[in-house]
Amino acid sequence: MSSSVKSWLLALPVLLFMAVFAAQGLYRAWLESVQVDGAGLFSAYTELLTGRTFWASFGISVYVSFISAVLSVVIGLWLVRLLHRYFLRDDWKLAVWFPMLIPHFAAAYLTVLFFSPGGWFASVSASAGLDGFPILVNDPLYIGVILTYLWKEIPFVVLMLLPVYQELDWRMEEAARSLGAGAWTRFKTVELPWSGPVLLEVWLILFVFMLGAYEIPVLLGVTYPSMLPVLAFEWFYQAGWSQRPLAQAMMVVLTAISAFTAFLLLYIIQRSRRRWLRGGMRA
Amino acid sequence: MLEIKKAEKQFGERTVFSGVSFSAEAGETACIVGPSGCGKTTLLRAVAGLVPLSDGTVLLDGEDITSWKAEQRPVVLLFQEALLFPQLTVLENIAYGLKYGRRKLGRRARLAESRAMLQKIEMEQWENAYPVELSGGQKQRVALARALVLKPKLLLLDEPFSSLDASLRQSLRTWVRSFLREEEVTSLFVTHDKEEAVMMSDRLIVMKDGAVQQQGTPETVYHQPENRAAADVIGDGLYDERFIPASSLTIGAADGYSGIIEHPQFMHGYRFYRVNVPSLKQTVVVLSDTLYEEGEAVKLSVTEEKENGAL
Amino acid sequence: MNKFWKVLLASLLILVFVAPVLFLFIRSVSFGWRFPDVLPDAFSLRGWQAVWSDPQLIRALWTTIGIGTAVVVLNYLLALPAAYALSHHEPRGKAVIETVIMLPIFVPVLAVAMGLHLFMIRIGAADSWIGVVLIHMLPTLPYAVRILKSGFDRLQTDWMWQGRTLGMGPVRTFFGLMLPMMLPSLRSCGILVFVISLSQYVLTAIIGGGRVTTLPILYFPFFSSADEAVTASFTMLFALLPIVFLVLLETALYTYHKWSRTV
Repeated sequence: MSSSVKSWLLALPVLLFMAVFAAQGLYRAWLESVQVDGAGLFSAYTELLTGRTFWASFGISVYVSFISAVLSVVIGLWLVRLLHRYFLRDDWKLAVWFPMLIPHFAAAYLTVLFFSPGGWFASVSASAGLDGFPILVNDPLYIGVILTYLWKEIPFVVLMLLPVYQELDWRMEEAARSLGAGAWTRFKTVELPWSGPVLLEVWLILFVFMLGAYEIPVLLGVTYPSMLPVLAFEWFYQAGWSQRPLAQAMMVVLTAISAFTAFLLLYIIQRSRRRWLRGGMRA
Repeated sequence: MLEIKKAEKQFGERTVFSGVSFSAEAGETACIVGPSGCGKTTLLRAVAGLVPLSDGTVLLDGEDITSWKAEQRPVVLLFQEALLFPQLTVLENIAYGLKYGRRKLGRRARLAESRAMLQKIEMEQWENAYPVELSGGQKQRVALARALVLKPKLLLLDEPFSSLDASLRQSLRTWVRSFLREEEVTSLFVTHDKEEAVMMSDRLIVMKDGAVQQQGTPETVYHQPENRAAADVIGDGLYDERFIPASSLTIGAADGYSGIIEHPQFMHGYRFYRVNVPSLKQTVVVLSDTLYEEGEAVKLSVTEEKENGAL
Repeated sequence: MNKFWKVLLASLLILVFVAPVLFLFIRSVSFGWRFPDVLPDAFSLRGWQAVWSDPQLIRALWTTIGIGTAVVVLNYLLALPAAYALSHHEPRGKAVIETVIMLPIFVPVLAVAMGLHLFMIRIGAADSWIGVVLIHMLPTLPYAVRILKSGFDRLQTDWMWQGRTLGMGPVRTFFGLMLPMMLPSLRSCGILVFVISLSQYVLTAIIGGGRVTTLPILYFPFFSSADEAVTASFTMLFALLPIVFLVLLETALYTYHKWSRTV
């Protein structure tokens, strides 16, 4: 049996699962979003895209996901560089990974404990005689949501990025220094070609995840504007399932955005690296 | 001109080298030769500014650069491997220092100088290739070009040929030597290979056990090692209170040093024997056209007339 | 960087990433700790007693552990062969396989769950723990394949060939030689999958339809309850469960390791 055939057979259970569940789920969401009797095939989409609620939710969703993903990646990168440089051999750097063991909604409760108006930081500032602790939980700017995501996702970024830094050839950095390159240039020309693709990919995973995640925004967000998954869930279960096509249409739109962003970024990553990893300018 | 004065390096309790002083004239190639672990690579990295010295000074054209950062020193280090930036083309690699480094030039001037350098290393047709497409020798040539295009006051080379195979190493050595002479680059070369050291250098510095054992012209150092350590590193011969070159040793006399034949060796069309001399705890390679068995006990006698390499 | 800064940075990391959970624990055993007290003044186990004496919660605990374990086992079964194929072979169309496996990471899983809702009802998997296990596979499977693949990447294949040349069959080589060397990856894969399964609320709510009561389903109404000690205890339970699971997993893997030596 050829190695290719064998590989496909070994991967078959997963592929079948993805086809039967993931692909079918998306397909059925699409079907339910267009099957509206009499009102026209895309009436749910028209209604969705002309409604103000959707756009408010869309705005807040993109804002929260984008900011959280960017901050997680940036802080994670900073931590990895620090950890790599000074704690290469210390195993307790694994402490950074600890939040990965805590479910998202439990992390949300930690945010409430520390940052809510009745929380510990408010207590401390009140005891110090300071009034007016800012509202950071269930706030319209979703700061509590962003803080929770940061606490949960920075360890994930560290987990994904640390292997890259451990495998980097640090003599390259010395070569660059010897040629007179400053710290920023060295980061750009020695580290980024290797860590950049991973950073982009991790950002993408986080962005897509946060765009479609329900748990934290429903606990720490506000009712208006709510994040897209919260709105979709609400519509999905609205009396008599009348709003279901609308919910499904929203999910289809969200899927399209996610898939398009993913395709675009993964394509850029692939194209930029293929050239110099394999060569090919000359035979 | 490079001057090193009383350089010392300690890692915690361990002294890597101490009291190292030597100098190299402008345009000269100085070569540090020594066994691995003698501290020569650390010394080179200290001159490059990649590790700080514990004590001593580094002067370059009379200027004290001891406390300068590596990126500020007008010094470039070539490593054992080429360490080209894989994401940049050959031309971009050569232009790296001119774009980001000490000698910043505008785009046009940068490309012109890099292309000129590319021509000098005879690799014009590889301008747009990526490092992954080059052979080991080509990579080292590009690394050399990337360094020299910066016109450094001092070029440091850390066994740059050691990752290449034997025949390529030979030809690249010859090429680099004449290239450095033509460009009149002051350079400091580090190697554990005495043949390479003698061939590459205008001035030879022998290092062992973290100290300079001897320095001088390669000719002098090779023929007249001053002490046992220097003789171990560079000399072909025996050291018994003074240096006895191999060329004045003869196998098969009635008296002299007792030795045991280890094995024959064939070089340049002649037969040599590697002889172990237990009383001196040394081995020496001696020319002989007589046939000996491995393990045979022989006597090595000294013929004074043959000293100084006259065969 | 000297020792002082190193210790400072280390303390800061522990303070930010670990200490909040300790704080949560103290909260769960404190009594009458209200705004604006900075420190608690009395301790009590009332919160934990409330959690342990709720029969519904104990049932949910077992449901959660059962579903989580099933998800982990099913992940191993599906992901191991795929990860092996992706790591040790270069099949034609490898990129296609990889893309399909990563699909649930790059699209919202909520969309899939909503789309599957009616289908699950039709095949009778809705409102049952089977359906919940299946839907939990979606956010876990891509990570399982990824972790196990990098585990296989690190394996030295010479070892396996050594086994084969010594006369071990492919099956015995796999279970007796290769899997024991994969233990670190199997461990991280298991724990991560369990935590992800433990973290699901909305997928369980949609597919379980309120019939499959896992801990998160009970937890959400609790979240904004005024009784902080009880909520804190309940939350602490979620932090403890992965640790309990880790102990169980260690025991299972240890037993397997012992067994594999006798093969």
